[in-house]
Amino acid sequence: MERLFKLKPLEQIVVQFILLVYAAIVVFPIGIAILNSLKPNLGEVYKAPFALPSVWSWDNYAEAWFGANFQTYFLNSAIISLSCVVLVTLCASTTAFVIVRMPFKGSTFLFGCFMLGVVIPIRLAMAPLFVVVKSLRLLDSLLGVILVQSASMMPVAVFILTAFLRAVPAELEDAAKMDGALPFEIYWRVVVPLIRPALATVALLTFVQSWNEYFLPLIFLQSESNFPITLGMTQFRLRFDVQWHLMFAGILIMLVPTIIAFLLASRQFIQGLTQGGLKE
Amino acid sequence: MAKGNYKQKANLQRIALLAPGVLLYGVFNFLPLLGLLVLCLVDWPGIGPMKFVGLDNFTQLFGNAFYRDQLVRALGQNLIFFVIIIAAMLLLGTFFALLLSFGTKGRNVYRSLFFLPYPLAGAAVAFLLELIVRTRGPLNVLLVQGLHLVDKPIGFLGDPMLALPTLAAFYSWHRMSFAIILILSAIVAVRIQLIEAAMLDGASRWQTLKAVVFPVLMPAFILIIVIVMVDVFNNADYTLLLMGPEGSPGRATDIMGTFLFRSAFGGSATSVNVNFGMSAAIGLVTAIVILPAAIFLALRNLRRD
Amino acid sequence: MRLSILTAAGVISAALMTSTAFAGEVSLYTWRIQEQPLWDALNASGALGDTTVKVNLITSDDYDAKIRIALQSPGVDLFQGRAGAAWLSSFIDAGIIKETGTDLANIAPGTLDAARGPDGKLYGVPFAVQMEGFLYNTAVFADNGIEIPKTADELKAAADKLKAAGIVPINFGGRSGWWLNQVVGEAMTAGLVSDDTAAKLISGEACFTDPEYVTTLQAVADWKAAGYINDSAMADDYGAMRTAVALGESAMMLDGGWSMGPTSPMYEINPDLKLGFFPVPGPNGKVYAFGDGTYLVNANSANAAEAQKVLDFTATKEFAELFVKHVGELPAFGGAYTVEDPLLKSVADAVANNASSQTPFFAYALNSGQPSYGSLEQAAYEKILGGTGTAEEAAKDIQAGLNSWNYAGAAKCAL
Repeated sequence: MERLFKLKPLEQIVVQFILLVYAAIVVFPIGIAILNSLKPNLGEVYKAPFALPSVWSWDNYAEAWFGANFQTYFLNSAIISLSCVVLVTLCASTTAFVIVRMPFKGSTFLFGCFMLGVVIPIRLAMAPLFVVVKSLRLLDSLLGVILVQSASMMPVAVFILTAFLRAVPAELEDAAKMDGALPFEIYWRVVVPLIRPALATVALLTFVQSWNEYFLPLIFLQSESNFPITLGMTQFRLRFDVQWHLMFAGILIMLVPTIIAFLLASRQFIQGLTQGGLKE
Repeated sequence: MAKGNYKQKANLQRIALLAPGVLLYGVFNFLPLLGLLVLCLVDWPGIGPMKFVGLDNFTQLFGNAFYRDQLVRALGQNLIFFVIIIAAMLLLGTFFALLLSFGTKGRNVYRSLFFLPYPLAGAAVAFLLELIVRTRGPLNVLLVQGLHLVDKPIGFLGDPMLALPTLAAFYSWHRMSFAIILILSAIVAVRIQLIEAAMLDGASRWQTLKAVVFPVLMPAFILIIVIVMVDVFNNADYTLLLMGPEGSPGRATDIMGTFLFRSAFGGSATSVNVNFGMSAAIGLVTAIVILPAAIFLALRNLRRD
Repeated sequence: MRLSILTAAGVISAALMTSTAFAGEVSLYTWRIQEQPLWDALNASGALGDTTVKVNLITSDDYDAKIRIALQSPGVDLFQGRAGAAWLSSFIDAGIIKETGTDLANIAPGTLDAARGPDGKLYGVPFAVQMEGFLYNTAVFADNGIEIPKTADELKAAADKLKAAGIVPINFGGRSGWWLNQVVGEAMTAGLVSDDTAAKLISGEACFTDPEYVTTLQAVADWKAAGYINDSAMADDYGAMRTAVALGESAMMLDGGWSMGPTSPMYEINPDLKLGFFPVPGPNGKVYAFGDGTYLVNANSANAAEAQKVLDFTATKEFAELFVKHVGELPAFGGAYTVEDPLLKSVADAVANNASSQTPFFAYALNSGQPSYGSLEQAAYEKILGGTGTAEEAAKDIQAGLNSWNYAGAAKCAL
């Protein structure tokens, strides 16, 4: 039946070989990092980057951990990304709900304003954005960076959610309205459960984006105690740049939580990405 | 009476539902975008008093060789950066997606493995890959001592010819799975059609792919192009993290994002004339460059569906 | 449900708004990681009374951009500025820094230029005297029977010997742009260009296309042509350069005295490392010495009074001795103070007796317009190391760049 997708044995071997090569390219840097993060000194990293360590130096991780304020960075990153997820899913879904289901004079224009943000990224308006944040006295505060990062995710989130909402029929909501339910109730009881898959997509994109964001915190955060891991990593590098084995350990400390989260939820990650992409 | 009451309440609630999103986006995104139009008319080092200079920033940007050369260079290099990345993503992305769509053994494992770099923080990826490609780094050891492909280490990030392609490779390594997954899901979505077509006229696999699969991949391609284009024309993270705001070596990795950053906040101890107005002017020019392409592609995409 | 979310959000945002600063704590923004032990010791000893100093480190590459951003929020009390009027002027114009109230009578007069604005007033307290020239791995020199070269020919002979022994004679970290102009350019000038000519270059009476200046660029081009420099001179950065010298794979590098100090990461790479220094051999034969930068008070800080107290302390002898002890660099203090480390003593001698008196990199006359001399010098060395131009062409680029904004010598040196 699925003739097109079935592979002959020889083809299977060729395909396997190609995929293995690419898998090696993907895994190579991470594998090298793990191997060399356990070496006792720089000399071994230099001379034999592919050999096993002469002494397994697990202490490197402790040294890297205590050499930089990783717990502070992690906490800040978690606060920023989780707040962004809450803010964006909430604000974007209410906005999309009103635009799609309760249109009013100017709602098309409003939607257009949001779409402007999709095609013109906020970083291009860095200078005016800086003026706004500064005049609201939000420089160097987590709240400031949360609001800025959430706002930067809003256009795409509204885009995805309106597209999704347009594609689902309004029957349930109409029925609720007949029963005299008010918009708040319709939103919370009917719409939110209905658009849950799209909300998951938005939450996921927002989380990955805000967790990875380097530029906006770079501009808006100055005190080291407010740094997320992306900025923390540059602080760490300042101290350990020439100590490669410690650099590798530090980088892995940064990567591991995301890798674990990903392994636990790889299916949702991938599905989320797919839905986000193809839902127009 | 009760009906009017309901309408009033509903209206209030509608406003309440609309307010948070509109405020959040309006204040921290839309307003700054409009602010570009105002700020590009002033000369202001970011501190102290603002000076209204009219269109002087644009005259400087296009007329003064010091700025014009930087603009031309940053735009050109940004374009090269984009082309390398998008070529890699579309060609390799389609290639790997196709391989994964066949009855390949272990394809779920591969898919997860390929997806591994995507959620990693960009800063960590940048530093990790930079360590790997250093002249004394593992990749050069492999090329020189392991495979004997070259006589001496390659200066991936130090050679002005190689630095930008190397950064593009970093970006592609990090984001490739995004393309693979999008294209793969488009292929999977048309499986039934494919099988019917294949059964109907007994066409060869390649003919079927060409006639049936590639056309339906267009929306996915367009989506990838738009997202990547908007991203690389404003996001200069890799350059900022690894090459500094001056885009070393010798501005060989300078792109719009670094140029914009540098004109607002200064690049090094030796850049003296910082100007938020100039930065806004550069932002506006970049927006004008990417806007038509983005709108065109977005419209095409919408019309198809 | 909604209410509780809102309450929670309110509580969280209130918590997020709270400033992290404690009473009696002033912040110090710096790119100098080597000062951390000094401030830790000062905080622990109570030398500053109730006040403690919280060091906020920013990488040197990002410092100039980030300090500008940081100064717009209220968090900065004290910060370090790069030396010279060109850097200070925009902060002076913006009212961020004011003429300093600290008594600078005891500060070495030679370092005061670091704190001087375009108007001639002094805006902060200079913090360190740095020496730049050749740094070398003493073990590598001893193993190969090499004495400190005093002339260009002796340097050549030493380099040939090292090259024959399979050691890279001179290591370059050209990927670090700041190092090219701030270290290479200045150390070469101090070694090859007379103080008199250097002064005339700054005032516009001599040109950068004059043969005497071109020799600085030519020397590096010659080293490259002779194979004295590492192949990957443009691909390696400052860290890679120091690593190569620390491991003895390379013998020499152009660098500053800070790399010899006790907190230098070079000793973490090789604990047995011993370093020495000498001026770039040539007609002038001097090391380059300069006030590294200044401690500055943010005039808009809420803790300006306390910050001023800390600033006053940095001008004292007590601070100078702690600076020597914990940072291992020469303080800007002009009076007598104790230096125990013999290496640092020899640096002090060189700075006092054999240092160039001119600092073109910091000269306002060369750096008040764009492109500045500093950035042009960097581009010139990139051109030579990248093999895309000759010394004459690189010198011409510098001159053309300066002429483009009508610096003092634009008329005389028209190309």
